[in-house]
Amino acid sequence: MIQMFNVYKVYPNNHPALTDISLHIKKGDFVFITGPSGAGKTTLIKLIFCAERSTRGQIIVQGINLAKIKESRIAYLRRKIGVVFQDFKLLNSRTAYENVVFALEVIGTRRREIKRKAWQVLKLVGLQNRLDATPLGLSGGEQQRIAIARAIVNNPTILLADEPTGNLDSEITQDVMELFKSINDRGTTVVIATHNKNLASQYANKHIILDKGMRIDAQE
Amino acid sequence: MSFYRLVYFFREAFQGIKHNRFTHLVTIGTITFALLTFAIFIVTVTNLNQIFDEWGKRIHLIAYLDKNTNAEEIKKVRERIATLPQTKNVTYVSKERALTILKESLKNQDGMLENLDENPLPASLEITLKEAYNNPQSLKTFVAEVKRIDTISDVEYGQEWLERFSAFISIVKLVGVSIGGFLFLATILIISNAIKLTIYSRREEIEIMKLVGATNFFIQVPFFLEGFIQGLCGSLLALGILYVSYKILISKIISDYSLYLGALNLIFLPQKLVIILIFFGIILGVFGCALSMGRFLKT
Repeated sequence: MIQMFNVYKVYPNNHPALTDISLHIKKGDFVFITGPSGAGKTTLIKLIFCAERSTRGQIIVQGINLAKIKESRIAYLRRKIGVVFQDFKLLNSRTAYENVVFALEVIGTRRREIKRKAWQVLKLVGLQNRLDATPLGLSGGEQQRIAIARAIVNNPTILLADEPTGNLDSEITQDVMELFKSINDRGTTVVIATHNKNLASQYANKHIILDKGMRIDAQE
Repeated sequence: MSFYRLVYFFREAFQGIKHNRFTHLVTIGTITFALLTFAIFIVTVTNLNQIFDEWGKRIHLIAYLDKNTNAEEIKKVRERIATLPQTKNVTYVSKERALTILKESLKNQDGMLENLDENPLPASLEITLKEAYNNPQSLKTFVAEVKRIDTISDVEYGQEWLERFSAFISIVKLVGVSIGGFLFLATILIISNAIKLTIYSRREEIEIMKLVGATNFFIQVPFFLEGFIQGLCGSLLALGILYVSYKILISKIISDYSLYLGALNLIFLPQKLVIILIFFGIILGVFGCALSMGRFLKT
């Protein structure tokens, strides 16, 4: 599903973010990437959905070589990848329902399908009663649920999450993690970057540890 | 493209305008101002040219004949002038005829002329020129030629006035073109900046659109539509303002000055130019948008 071979990422200021990273994530994996801040977790996630390009090395996502992907094809790759962030990235001027609908509209989904899918996914994350609330009227946990709903509404095969619980207290964190687990149980490959090692030991079936841009876990 | 997509694009464009009302108003105002200046310039020049042409057609040269010129000589002079390439028409106005005309034009005040012992008016030849020669330069040459004829005592025409008017039109054209050029550049810059602001204020939306896999085409279309709508509104507004001002001006001029200007016919923009102006406004809007779009869509 996701493969990296000797991947390097150096930012324009000559700061090496990732050094010689190789990994293999299989379909249905529940993967945690952990490490202290600045270890390169976010960069690794960004490389997978082409928000950054690797400096060296090969990345293959769903059979597509990202080193060779055309700019115009990136949009289509992203339709198969859902992404969730620590700061949710919701549109505060739109309701919970509209935030989810927005993600479907902008990729040209048919109207009838939009209603069905949006409703289904909001029910899945347990927010079917808060459809008309705007993000600012919702708790952090609820906001993250909307963000997750938006990320999975298009049935992606991969769900990426960058510190998804960084802004949430521990109880809500558990709820959100359970949600990720249930999404993973439905067959979606889930990759979560977090500094919280305990979550990894609790949920991960694969644990990648980064430090200073290098992989320091025992690789298979 | 499906109807639903089209609806989506238009809805997004109008929402964008609604959410950024102020920026859009400024942009539309700028387009309006630029096009209005440009249109005023065109209307002014068109009308000045028209007036100039109109008056040019009515230019009569009056060549006064020496007092003692006899009929034979008059005939000769007349023929000579008629054969000049510039001449369209030559009419002989006798002393008597000149007096009758004067009396007619004085109408109720003809008492003034009653005590004249002798007709003081000279006989003259009224000359009209072919249209191609209705410009100050050819006129001068022509007058010089006529003046060389012995029996002609003087030639009268609105020389100075014509020259000044023609110079004035040239200046108006020059000023108009330079102001127009400046405004055109300024407008594109202002529009591209205004749209940059709009895009900036919607960067989160764009970020999310890119995140969930919207194509650049899908992201761009609503912005281009916004530019299009702005351009259209701006040009229609400019034309509207111009038309209303034109109507007011016309009614004023006609009621106040018709006596002096005669059957002066002020014209509005020709239809072709109206379409060009609207087109121009749309180009301004869309081009301004394109200029600021590119860099925001980089992945």
